[in-house]
Amino acid sequence: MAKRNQLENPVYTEMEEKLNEVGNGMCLAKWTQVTLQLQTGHNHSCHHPRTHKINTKEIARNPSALHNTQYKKLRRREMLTGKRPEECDYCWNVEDNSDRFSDRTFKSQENWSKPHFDEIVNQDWREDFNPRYVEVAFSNACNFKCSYCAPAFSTTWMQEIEQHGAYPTTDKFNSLEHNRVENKMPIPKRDPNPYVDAFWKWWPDLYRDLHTFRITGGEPLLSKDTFKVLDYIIDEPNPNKNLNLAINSNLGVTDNLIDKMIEKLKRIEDEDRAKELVIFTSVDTWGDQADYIRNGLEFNRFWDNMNKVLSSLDRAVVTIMSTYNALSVPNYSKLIDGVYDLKKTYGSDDRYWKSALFLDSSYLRFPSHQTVQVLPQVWNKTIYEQAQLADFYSIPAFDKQFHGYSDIEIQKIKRIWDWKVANWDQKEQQVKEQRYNFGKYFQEHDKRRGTDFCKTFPELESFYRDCLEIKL
Amino acid sequence: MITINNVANTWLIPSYNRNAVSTYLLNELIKDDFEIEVSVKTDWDKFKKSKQKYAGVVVLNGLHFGIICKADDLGGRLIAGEVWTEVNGKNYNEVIQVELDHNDKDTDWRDIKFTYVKNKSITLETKEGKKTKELSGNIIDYQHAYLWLGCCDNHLSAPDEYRGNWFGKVRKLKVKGKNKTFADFDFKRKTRYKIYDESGNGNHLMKKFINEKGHVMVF
Repeated sequence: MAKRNQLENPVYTEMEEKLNEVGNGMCLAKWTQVTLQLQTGHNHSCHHPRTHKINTKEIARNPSALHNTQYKKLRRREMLTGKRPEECDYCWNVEDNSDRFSDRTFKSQENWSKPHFDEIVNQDWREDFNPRYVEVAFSNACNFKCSYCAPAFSTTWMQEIEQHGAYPTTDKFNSLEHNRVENKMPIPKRDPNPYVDAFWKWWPDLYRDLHTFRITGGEPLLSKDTFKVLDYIIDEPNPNKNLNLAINSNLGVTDNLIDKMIEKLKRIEDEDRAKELVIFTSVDTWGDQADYIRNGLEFNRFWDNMNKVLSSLDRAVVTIMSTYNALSVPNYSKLIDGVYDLKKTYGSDDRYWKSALFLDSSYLRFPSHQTVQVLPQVWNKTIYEQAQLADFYSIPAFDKQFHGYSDIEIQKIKRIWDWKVANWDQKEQQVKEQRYNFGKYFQEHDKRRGTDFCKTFPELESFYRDCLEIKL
Repeated sequence: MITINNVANTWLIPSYNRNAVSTYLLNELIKDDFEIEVSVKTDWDKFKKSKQKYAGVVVLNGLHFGIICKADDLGGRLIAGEVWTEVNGKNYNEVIQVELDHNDKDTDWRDIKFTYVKNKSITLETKEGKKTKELSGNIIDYQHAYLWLGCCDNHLSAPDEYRGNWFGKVRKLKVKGKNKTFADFDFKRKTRYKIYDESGNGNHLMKKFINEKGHVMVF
């Protein structure tokens, strides 16, 4: 099928053709990218396929099998012999049902993939390959239990579910049954973790080849392994200066941990031990409402810590990964205002990127009971006005001399509205169930956590009460 | 309030919206009746020193369409409403204007209202009175025009004599289309690059920036 953007994207066309010469299921990300969930011993290369379990016997022999699992090597063989691995069906659906490039083309074109094309296609499928783009979670230790998160990523969530069980929604939200079935029960922090041990055996070799390394969690600052990575980079006589280093943090841990992170990143920054430093954090709206969504957050402390990070680190960049959900809607405009102020305050020519701070607004998809879809249509306008507000703060060009919102930041907010107003078959029926679950979930949430939905979200009180009246 | 005191300091609403968040585009507005209400203090001394014959207060560019200040060779000061029409293949400049009293220093806030009735008439209202002119024909095509505040046209390609740079202060601007507001500015909420549109349509005024290719940047 001819690609719609063929003329506009000769680069992607060329990459797709090159991949198809090897096989129409070929994708470099199967070699170059990995997300390691060491707390459960799972990985996947590219976020589309489901994660798979890492074999402890394999990593005992070969720590790079954290990435180069036998399972994955078989998928690589399929790719090199013209087959399409079934687990990559996300891309096959895109390619077979639209005129768009799929993610295998985009990911293979990335500068952490493309330069390794020849090496990958010329080596035997059994060979190991060090990934260039690595995301790692060392543990699920987290002091937050965000309303949309899960026990696999938060120890406080795990404690709550172990104590009270799943939430009384129709889908038994955050039941541990799924984790057991998928073999994804996190290894408790106190227990030995063979995956983390293997990681540290592999690390000296992996580090040299890395293009991007991002530490996720849980809350990474609660893991000693995060600081071990930073210390390694600081102590390394011959650091990998091409490394893009990123750390996720909720910026809601104790002051000494925040200060410790800043101190170490400052050394890395000052001594040019990395190509760039990015801190990914999260907040989904403003003030008390943000605290409610991300249980454990103290908004004012969080904001102070963002200021502290940006004022202490002259070159680092902060990206706010905002999970825009139903509870974000009433006051998201305040967050847009606040982030704009920080952009103005901390924008500088010295930053690694063109803006000191990014607001990356992505709409929540799961759990479905908390997405913007559950809200009545009357809220559509509010979301649209937030896109217009970000557009008000837009800049003539995405350049260090201008401080405001880039097109992509604006478009990502607009996309939330697009999704909110979209229609599909049986939407009404689905939304009814989601609203039922919305009521059940937050009623139980208030009971378990001592919160008060109606007091925190007076704008949504009548909607919430209506949800509680729904009978399925 | 904003002050426009140099030729670089002009503002505009483009005919399209780069991020597609406007709910009422300029090229929709001009398909039908509309009116412009503005409250200004014109810096007549600076205007005269600039040696320009006319200066745009709020104007659609191309063949100028909107509110324009003028000076004549005898020292007279005029406020005009203008549009161009096409009749039998020829373009006509349709003008109504009021002359300021010689004794009027015009230092207080001045409200000006310009009303366009689709292909029929233009009306200008000031404290001096109200004048209406029936149009000779249909107006020319303004579909791709930008609405400028503080000049007639500041595209880089516009010759200096057609730019009509205006100097003074603006405290209020409201543009209304048929039955609904298009844009509304009290000039209280602004960034270095934009002035907030209170109408809810997302038609924020943007400051003129010219890119490397010489085009006005729409952002």
